Amino acid sequence: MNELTHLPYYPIITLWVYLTALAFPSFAQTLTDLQPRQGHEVGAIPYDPALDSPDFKCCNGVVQQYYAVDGGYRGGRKRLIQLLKTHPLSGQTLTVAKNGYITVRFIVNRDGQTGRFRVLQVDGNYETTSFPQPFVADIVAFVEELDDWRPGQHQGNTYDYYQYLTFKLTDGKVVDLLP
Amino acid sequence: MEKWLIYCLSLSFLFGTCGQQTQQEAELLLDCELAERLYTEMGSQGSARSQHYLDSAIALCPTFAKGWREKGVPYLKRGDYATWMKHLNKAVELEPETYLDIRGWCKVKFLHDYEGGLADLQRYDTLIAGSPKMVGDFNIYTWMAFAKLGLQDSVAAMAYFDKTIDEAVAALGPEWVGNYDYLYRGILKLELKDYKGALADFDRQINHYEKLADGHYYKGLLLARLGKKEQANASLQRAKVLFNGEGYHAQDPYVEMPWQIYAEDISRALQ
Repeated sequence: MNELTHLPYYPIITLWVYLTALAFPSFAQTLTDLQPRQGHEVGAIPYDPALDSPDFKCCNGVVQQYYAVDGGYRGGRKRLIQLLKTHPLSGQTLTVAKNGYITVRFIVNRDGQTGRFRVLQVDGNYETTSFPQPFVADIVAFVEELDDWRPGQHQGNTYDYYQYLTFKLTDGKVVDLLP
Repeated sequence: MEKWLIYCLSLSFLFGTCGQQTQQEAELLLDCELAERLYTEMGSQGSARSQHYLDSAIALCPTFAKGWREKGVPYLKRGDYATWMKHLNKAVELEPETYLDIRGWCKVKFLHDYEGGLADLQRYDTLIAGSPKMVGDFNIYTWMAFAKLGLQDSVAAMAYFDKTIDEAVAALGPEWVGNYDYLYRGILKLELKDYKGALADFDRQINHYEKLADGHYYKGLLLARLGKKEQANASLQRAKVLFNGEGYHAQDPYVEMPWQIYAEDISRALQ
């Protein structure tokens, strides 16, 4: 960063980053993969003060995976698909008719609230790619607004758990929601 | 004399080369045995330890297909498809007869990549003889049926559902028909308005696995559509009781299965 501040166009970059953050305030961090880092497991999402709200309570103990607990969205994928159908996202078509998957990975805490959003993007050949940022921001915003998650239950205990939603795109349009 | 010398030197070279080859083979065998041991001791899936162990196993034994496959599994389950595919592709390249069906099944189940999954499953079907072929808890033809449904080809899907059932009956007997095979075929018949065929399949399903809520639920929907309200209500009430604890319902820990029902569906149908 010290080297960057000496550059003549540094103020322009700073202004661009600030305006981008204002324009797309809910843009989560894009990851290239879920490889273990710093001894964490595959797909762990440690707290990042630059991205995550300090008010989101979680992770005091083991954070389970969604498939290891009884949780998920009330009404399941079926209900999520219905919500998506009535959302402006379903009517959007990207100018580049691209296939692929945009995955938003996050945590559902013991109160059923969500946080720590991260994004992965692959094309139709399962290679890492990037979709237009405003579109990805809309996807993340859709996920952030979902408010009927069940806390994770297992053998009488309540857990925080990792969850993801994947938006499948065909020809630049969202056509499916997984898992 | 010179001829004998050349002959002896050639033999020496030959045996020397063979000796080297044997040593290399022995080292590779030892490395692959070590890889197998690392695999056994890697710990819980997705942990940093397991990933390190699998990296080491693959480095020791690059043809260790099982290691390539296992390394990718947590990535699929947690939403990193690029990393998963990179590793499973390697496993398929090394042992297509072992991993092609898995790749096909996972593409259909997790990614709704119906074309890609179907292609893998069909290719696998030509590689391996015998029946039935099972993958991911279902007959391979059930996954092909799901793929065809995703591609909106109901006729082909029906043919695959038929094949699933017919194959089980022919190979092993009617008691070996899968727990959901009549259910899925019946639901497709319901959607195609073959009500007589659907009802027969739902009755077969209930006879085969009475405690599965789904069979009663879909039978209830069908009866309601046929105007038989009391019978419909009885079926739906039975579905509700089974769903809420006395029985089972079709579900999967990782994905929503085709035509999966929720408590809200049963409540709505009973209104």
